[in-house]
Amino acid sequence: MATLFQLFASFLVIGATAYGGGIATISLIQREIVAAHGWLTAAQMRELITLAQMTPGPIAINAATFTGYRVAGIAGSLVSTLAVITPGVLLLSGYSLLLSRFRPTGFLDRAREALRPGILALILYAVYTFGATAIDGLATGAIAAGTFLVILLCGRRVHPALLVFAAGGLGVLLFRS
Amino acid sequence: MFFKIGLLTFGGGFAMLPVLTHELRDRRQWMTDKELADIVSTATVFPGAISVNSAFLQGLRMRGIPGMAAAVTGLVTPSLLVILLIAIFLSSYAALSTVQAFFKGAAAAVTAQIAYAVYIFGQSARPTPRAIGLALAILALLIFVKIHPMVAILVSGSVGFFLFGRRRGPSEEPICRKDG
Repeated sequence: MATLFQLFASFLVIGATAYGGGIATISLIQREIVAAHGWLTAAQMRELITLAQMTPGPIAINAATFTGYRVAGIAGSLVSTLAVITPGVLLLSGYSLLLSRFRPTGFLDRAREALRPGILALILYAVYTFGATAIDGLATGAIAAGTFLVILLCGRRVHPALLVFAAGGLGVLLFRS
Repeated sequence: MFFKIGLLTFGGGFAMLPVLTHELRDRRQWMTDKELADIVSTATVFPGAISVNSAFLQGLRMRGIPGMAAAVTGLVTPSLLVILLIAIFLSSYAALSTVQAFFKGAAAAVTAQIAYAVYIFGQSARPTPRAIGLALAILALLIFVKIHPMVAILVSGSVGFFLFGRRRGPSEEPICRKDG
């Protein structure tokens, strides 16, 4: 029960501060799940983010379901997933109520502008922290560089999940001991 | 309907925009371009996944609270089920060297996707030199002082609000002062 409560609290924090889309959220999730609570190891965290990129749904929700299950089974996954969507839903409800009285659009523009540098910093930080666990030598570095080139050249015509699967297949060929 | 969007949106946030546009605007004609842009831009200012927030707003706009509940549940359920199945499966097979090797290769590709997000962000948000300066300062705090990512957002929000808020384009001149 105490664990369920901790999961709920932690994913409430993640849900409340997950600005700027999935990738900006990675370091936040890592901080809460790996550094603060030790629920997952760095290697499991790497698996989690990789899975999130291969499966449908937002990263924060994938992370909640996965970590919740690992820590406290099915109940844990449900509690965590509920917690992670709660802050956004509550804030948006409040906002929608306010919106029916007046439209503070200038405020929203300003807020969006103000959050951008932080979001950019978090995305850069995610490159740094995730890269540190994922790139451990020439081979993984080459896969990363190759993937980057493919995305740059083909853009969205190649499905992102397909690229991750392909790289995984390459990994099986190269790294299986 | 949002069940389908939930099932089709891989990765995070902005990756789902084309799917959302296609389903809501082109196929169902539930909304115009302008309405979609409004909803998505509102969704990004609030915490939480952009697709969940968009589903919330769209559901609410169309059918009130039941619509909102249906849209959010529909969006979350598929990813919940898929991850749950994988987590159950992984807990027995994670130690296999094939699985390990797969993740090693796949994670390298994910690193590239994360790096690409920087590029996309630069293109869509077109940050000013000031904004980039603030971003680098916050990055330094994250790496060297190890501040909590939540603090990074708070710093950016408060510093940025005063730094950038004052001097926006003339069309946005009467910022929120008048409504308050």
